[in-house]
Amino acid sequence: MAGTVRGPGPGPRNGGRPAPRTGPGAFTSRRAPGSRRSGGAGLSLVQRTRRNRVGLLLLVGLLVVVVGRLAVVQGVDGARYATAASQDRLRTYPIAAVRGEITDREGRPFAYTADASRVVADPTVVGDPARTALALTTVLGVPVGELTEKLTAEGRYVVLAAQLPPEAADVVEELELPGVFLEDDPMRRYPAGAVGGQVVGFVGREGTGLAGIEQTFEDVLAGTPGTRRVEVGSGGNPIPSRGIDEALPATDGSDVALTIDQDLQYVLEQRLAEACADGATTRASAVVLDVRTGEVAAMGSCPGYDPGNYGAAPEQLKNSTVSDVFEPGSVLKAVTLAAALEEGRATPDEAMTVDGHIQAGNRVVTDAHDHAPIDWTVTGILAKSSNVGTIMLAREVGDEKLEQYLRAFGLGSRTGIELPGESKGIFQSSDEWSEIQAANVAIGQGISTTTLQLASVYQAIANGGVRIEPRIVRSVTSPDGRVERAERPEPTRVVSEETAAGMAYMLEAVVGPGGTAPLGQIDGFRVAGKTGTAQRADPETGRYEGGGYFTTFAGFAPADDPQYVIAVDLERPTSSAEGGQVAAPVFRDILRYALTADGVVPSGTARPEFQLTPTP
Amino acid sequence: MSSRATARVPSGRVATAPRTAPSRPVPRSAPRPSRPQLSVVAPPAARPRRSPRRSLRSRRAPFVLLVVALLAGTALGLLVLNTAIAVDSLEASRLRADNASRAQEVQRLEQQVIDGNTPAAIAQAAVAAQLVPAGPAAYLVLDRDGAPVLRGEPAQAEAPPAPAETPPAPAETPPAAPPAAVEPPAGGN
Repeated sequence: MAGTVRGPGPGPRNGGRPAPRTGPGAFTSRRAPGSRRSGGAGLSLVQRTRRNRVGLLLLVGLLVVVVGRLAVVQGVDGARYATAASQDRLRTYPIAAVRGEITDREGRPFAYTADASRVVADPTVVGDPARTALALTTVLGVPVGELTEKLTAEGRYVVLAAQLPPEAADVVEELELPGVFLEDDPMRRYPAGAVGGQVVGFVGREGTGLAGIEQTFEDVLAGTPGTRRVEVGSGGNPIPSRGIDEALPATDGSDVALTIDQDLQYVLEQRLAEACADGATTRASAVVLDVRTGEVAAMGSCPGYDPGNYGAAPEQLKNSTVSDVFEPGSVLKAVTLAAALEEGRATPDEAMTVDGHIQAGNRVVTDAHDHAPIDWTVTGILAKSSNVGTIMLAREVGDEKLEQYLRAFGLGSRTGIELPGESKGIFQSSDEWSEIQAANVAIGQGISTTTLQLASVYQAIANGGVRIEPRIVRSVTSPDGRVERAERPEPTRVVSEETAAGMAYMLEAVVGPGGTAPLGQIDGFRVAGKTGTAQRADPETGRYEGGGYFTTFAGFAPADDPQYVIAVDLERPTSSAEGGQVAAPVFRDILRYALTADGVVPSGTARPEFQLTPTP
Repeated sequence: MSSRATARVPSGRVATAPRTAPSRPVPRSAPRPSRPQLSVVAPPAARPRRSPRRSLRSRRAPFVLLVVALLAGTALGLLVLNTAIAVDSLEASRLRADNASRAQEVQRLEQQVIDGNTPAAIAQAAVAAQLVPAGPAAYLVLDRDGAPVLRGEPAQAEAPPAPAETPPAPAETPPAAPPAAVEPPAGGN
């Protein structure tokens, strides 16, 4: 620096330096050793000035370049470099959101998520695969050979065991094996096992719902995962204190409470399993509805599955009560008779002369047991389950009206229940009906329903003619504790209260003496219901011959103050047993438990004396 | 150091330090003192000059001490704070670990409760305890006019033939509660 100052200094003072340091001859002596100045030794003043200017310009130019570059690095690209730098030392880890619980109406869990770990290894870091495998084999429950194979595999990431409970994970951690790590791997547990399994559904490997409520409420249950950003040291380990450690907390999933009662569900499934074990029944389904609210108290079918261990055949992983359809048979006569009552075409005690068979198009429909013409009341027609009588009444109502009533009772359309894969049944509109088809629909053939739809029909009758679409979710509770009750569908009046009362009266006769289902009766309670024995079309031939039967029963109790509606259907391809013999006992056992467990007080009134045949 | 001090004292301090003024009147007139003058000053100054220097030093001492004390205090304070933070941090992580293991324990116990509370487990326990499904219960209800009426016929429960997996096993819990709710009015009966 001193040199530059001295250089451009005024010429005249050159040599006239302050005395103390400049003795005589100092000027020459200073120049001689300084190699720096030797080049310009012979330059004139003008030349030197020019050289200085050029040097200055050069320096200023360089300075401008440096400053400019600085501005570019700091100002223009600054943000990019800053992020690149922080990327280098920041690691982002996901924080898993805890999936919500699925509980029954009383909060007993059907499904919940528990902490668990996944044991992974980096084979390049594992020093002694054999020893590591030996140390882990008992705690992981994986054979040594398999572990060794994994630990010597190519790559840097192998999963040794998944969903390890916390206790076992602690053991693995204490072993402090090099190259073996633990990762979060929450486990979905289904404590009730197969109970309610078809309703609850299950989650796949990635933890997303693949069936049942787990699927329909995926968004609600899943929650939002959070992230944690930490500053890491050279080893990749987080810097404990003072480093950047910011977390965006995960929002846990909401809990879903169902309307199902776990005990009732258990009883229902046990009873269905018993029915399925009789050798002739290949599939059995049942639905229990709360009459007043239309809520599903229990629904199930056999064979079912355990959502915690669903490795079985994929075609079984469905909820038959809402996705399988069947021809209900006589159980649907209730709708035909309700239509006749509502339209004023009949009264319960009105007498009719019923033949043993009736011509429908080019076919003849007979009663279950052909008989000579006989006088029956309308109640008697239902109690005896007369096809001919019902078809006669249906003809008085008319095809179009009958279709209207069937649709009003919910047939041919989805109930809108919160379950995936619901079928709307098979139901052609009346203008496409042939004569035989019209006759068949009136007695529940040529029309297909789900078990849930069937239960919903009887719910409307039991509830004074007001139908409420069935629902299975009671409320959703968010992690902050706010409870949101599920919306209830609008009740719709299907038939008048008088018609409903008339139907309840007639349906009670079915279970009474002379009816088709005395086995549906429960001591102390007045039970109303209807049997069905529908011909089953053989899926291989598409014909009714040799297809066996669907035996059904639907009803409610107590008849004077209905609380529960139950619909049962059994698929029996090899048996000709009637609904009153097979389905009614299933109905009775489930209903008895439902009434007893709920503390329903036995009916206080006696069953009326039914007029099945007109009094002479 | 000392030579510069001696040089400065006569020139700069003359006006401000009255004690030296009477003995040394010379320097005032001469702005640029020459070497001889300086040499004269040195010997006699020995005694009287001690006092200003000492007073200067004694005046500076508290300040220096203060600074040193402050520095030392700050360093010490930082050390203490740092240690305290480190101790607290260790304590916090220990408590966190403690908390985590407690949470794990709670979760384990909760799972135990949940597993024991499933219908199947209760049914099994009921069978093990030789409980049988309840028979039909009778209810005492108040009539319109307030008279108690018996509804239903109580029957004794029968042991099921195959107790392994009977459906009504869990029944013993729920029915026990509802009757109690209905019965109280006629509880004396």
